[in-house]
Amino acid sequence: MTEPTIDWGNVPYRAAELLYRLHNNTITAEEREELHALIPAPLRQRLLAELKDIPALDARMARLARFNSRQAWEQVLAKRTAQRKRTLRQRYAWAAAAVTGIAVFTWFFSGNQQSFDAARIVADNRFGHENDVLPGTSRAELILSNGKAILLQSNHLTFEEEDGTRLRSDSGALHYDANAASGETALYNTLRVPVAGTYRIVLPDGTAVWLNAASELQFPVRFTGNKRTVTLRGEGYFEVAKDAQKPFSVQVNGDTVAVLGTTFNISAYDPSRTTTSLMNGKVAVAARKGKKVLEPGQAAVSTAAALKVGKADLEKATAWKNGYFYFNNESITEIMDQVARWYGITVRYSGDVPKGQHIGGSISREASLGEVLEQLHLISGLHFSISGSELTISTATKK
Amino acid sequence: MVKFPGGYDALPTAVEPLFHQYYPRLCEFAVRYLQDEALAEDVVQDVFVMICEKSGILPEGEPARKNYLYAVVRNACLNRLRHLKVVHRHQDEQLRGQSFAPPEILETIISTEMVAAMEAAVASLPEGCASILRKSYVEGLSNTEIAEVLNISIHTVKSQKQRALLLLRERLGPGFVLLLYFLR
Repeated sequence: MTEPTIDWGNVPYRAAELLYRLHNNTITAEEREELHALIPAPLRQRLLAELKDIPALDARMARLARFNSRQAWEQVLAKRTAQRKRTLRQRYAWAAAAVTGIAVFTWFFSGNQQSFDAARIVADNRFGHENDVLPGTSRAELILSNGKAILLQSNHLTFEEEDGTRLRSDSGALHYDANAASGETALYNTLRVPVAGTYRIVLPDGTAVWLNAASELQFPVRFTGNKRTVTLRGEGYFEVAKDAQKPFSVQVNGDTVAVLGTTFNISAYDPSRTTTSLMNGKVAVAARKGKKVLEPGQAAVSTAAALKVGKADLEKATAWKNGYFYFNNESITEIMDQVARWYGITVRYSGDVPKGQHIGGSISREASLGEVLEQLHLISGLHFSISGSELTISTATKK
Repeated sequence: MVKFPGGYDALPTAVEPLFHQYYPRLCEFAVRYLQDEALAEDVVQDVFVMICEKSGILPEGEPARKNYLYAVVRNACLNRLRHLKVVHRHQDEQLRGQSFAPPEILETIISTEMVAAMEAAVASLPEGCASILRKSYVEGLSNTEIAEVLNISIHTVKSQKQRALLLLRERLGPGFVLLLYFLR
């Protein structure tokens, strides 16, 4: 829950009134009890201590009295006029960009990580939403072989698995070093990336995997035997290290994608539809409906009904990993699925939102939700309104 | 939600009384997060610019409206701090290493409201009382000097001063000496 939706009711105001009365000795016994029930003792003590610090209170009262709302109001009106001119100019600029179908912009908020989802919900004074939502960040949860969970963010951590494999995390990536490890059987770890998150892992063989939001990779901490097998859920981009003696394979939604040394992306958010796009090298997709070998630039789409190979949209398959959204003639629901995962929001469609419209364009994943929606609004004409972590889409503005 | 009828130009007119009512305490509240008066005023003004742009954004009535305003101002403060951190990252070594734990919102609201209640109590002192206190505490004038300046008898000065102190004690509790307040 975000702060704007928290409702304390009258608690803070009644508490302030009663504390004030307690301080100047006009409080009744009943009110004293009421105050005790209203706020916990430690908070009460801290506030009473504030009331005893007369010089500090004096300074604060003086400051309070200095804030001149008459003058300030003039500034509000001036700012409002200035902002209005600015937004009109921006609207023209964005509308022009929307015509070309592509409008790329970046907005850097901050390099520091937000540990709480509530911290990504920020005030919005640009787009008129109840609040804005900051984009996802590098974060994941690592489940060790003993079931212990470790939260990975920008923190630098080093630790050791039971078989001696060394793990090291730095800003946005986890590295495995199996040089000092021993034993026959491999231990399995799971890297879980939540919504509004992304993370990269470098396996002990040097294979790098980028995980998109709401995705999971299960893998052995070192590759024993003559195979390298990992299991994916969600979406992952793989740069597989070459090792002809040990083929690499990805288990995904019941299919197997077998590779040698290559680069490819697997998108499998929908359990009934897996898309494997190949950048270079060679992969063999073994699905329920047959087996196909992909050439670079091709994509395989596996469903319960068929395994189809066609031309890959490589721009799209790699965009997320390179830090932007890329929409190529996609429906609003397909687009919103991606947006919802990256901003950790839920989407509600109000009334008859046309789902058939197809939209194209690209937007930085560093942008705030409000900025992304402003773009989508200009391109699609749909209306978006953010409230906390819920987004409502409608065809007309609610008045 | 309150709706303000009348379109673009009518909106500020409807918001203005609320602005005067809440502006000082929202600024005082924002100072607790930003540690800077000018920055605090800027943030609170921006919040009201946003409110003017949106009809129907303010909850109706107390305390929902106050709760909303405090929460929005607090978020705007944290947002601004985040932005400032980016701006200063390469200039200010101190800001870089500093981990900032924002004040707890409920506590800050109660604290602000307490101060606002006290300020209201002092601001409503009769003008005569206030000006005698100001001359005595701030300007350091003796009773005789005050009597001369204000052209009243020394007896009136004494009784007014006593009454003022009594009122202050009644309103603010014992031991209150408001130096800065009257200095402003």
